[in-house]
Amino acid sequence: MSTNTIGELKVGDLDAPFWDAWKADESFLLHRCSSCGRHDWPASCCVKHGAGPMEWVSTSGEGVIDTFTVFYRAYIKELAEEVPYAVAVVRLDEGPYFHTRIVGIEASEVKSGMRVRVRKGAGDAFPLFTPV
Amino acid sequence: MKSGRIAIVGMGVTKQGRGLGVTEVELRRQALELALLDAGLERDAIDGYIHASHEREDLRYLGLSPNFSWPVQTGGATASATFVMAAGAILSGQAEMVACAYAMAPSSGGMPGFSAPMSLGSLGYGYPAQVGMIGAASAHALHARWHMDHYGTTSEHMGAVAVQLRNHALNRPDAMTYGKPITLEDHQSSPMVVDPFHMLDCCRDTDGGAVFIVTSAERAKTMAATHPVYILGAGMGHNIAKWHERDVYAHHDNIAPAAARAFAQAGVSLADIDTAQFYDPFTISIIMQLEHYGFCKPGQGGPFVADGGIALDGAIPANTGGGQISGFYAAGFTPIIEAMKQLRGEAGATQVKDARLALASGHGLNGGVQNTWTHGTLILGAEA
Repeated sequence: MSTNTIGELKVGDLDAPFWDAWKADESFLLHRCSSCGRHDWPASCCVKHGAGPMEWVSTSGEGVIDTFTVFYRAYIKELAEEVPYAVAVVRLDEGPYFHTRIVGIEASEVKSGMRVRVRKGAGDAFPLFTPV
Repeated sequence: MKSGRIAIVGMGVTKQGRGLGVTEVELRRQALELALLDAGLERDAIDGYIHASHEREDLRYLGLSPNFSWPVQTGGATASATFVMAAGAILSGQAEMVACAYAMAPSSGGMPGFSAPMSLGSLGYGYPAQVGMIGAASAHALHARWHMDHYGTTSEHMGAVAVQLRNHALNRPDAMTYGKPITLEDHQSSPMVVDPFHMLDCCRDTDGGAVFIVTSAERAKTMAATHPVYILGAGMGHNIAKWHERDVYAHHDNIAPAAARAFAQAGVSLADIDTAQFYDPFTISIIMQLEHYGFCKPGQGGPFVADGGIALDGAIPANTGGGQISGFYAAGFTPIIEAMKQLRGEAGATQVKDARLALASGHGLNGGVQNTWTHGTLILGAEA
């Protein structure tokens, strides 16, 4: 299903490679500094080396839930059918945070420290994560 | 900024409430009139204007002719920022008498020329909105959940904050919840909004305006009719640094640099502060600020409040007007309004005895996917 996004996804120009890759074959890219190996998301300048060495690279799409929240209230009508749903901040193995929805388990089962990975094969327009 | 060179000589606060049916610019006009009256000044004395947010019609409608009009928008830290900017204008010789103006009227349907109703754009923060992360409560809930999972803070601890603030507001006619007590059970049974926040963990948008008039301490001395409060120290910090360090959620704000600068300028220590007025959109905000300012140990903010730490007779009486949660939400101006009242001895039933030094904080402007924002610290004093 690809209904977990609300409205039209507005892609930032600088992040286009991330979305193009996700749309093409569900590759999960991050922006990496080739000088020091630091990964970032969304598109960033390396805090040490600036924009020059930044490149988009394919990554694991795995990480750990750093923190999360569960929505019990639908702020807009498009989400009325979805509550309760869990939004988590995943600390990706490469370092950056990634805000996403946790799917494949009940919202009440979501816990900090849970190991998760990006869901593939479900046609998600936005990369959603599910327990490993 | 050198301690005590800048004074706040006028404060005007309009009625604060929901659905007042008054536009924002009219609320600012009302607040300006009250501030001028408070300062004993005429309109034409205002030669600098700093506006929280932006509004093209203000100067014309308010009948002002200043040398400049500066918009400033950093969410709930805007209030702190306007005072820093006012001090800068005065100390650099650009103005003598600066008005810092705020009004919000979310119930009045926004501003002329902006026809769209409150859109997802104003409730969401970039990409996370795509997965349904909408509203300020969720942004703060991420910090609250982190705090609970790392320190064992409980919903009841947050409930203790809600009840304490209500106990303050109960006896304050200027609070929206005047005369309306709540219990911990009320907090626990109020509807869940976004985990871990119940409805009673959250503030509510309020219509209202506030204007402050800022001048040099020297000029203030010549104004017989005023009751000045002095800006002794100011500092700002931004937790984008914590994003870069990948340590956002342990830090509700980046308080350390803001507090260090403000306290150094004021030449005082935490123990000297008589009352703290924290920016409190949600209950966790008070718990985490108590810890990061150092009023209690890391992780102990919940028990500290539950044990009466921010009550009038507690270690640090805080948010004595009910804060934004039980008082009224004037963005970052709520803490400054209450600090002013305390230092002027105008806080009524929740007056802190002999309050001479107050800390007021601000926090805001969610940067988007990174969930980061500015923190402002002001140290205000009854004497220069």
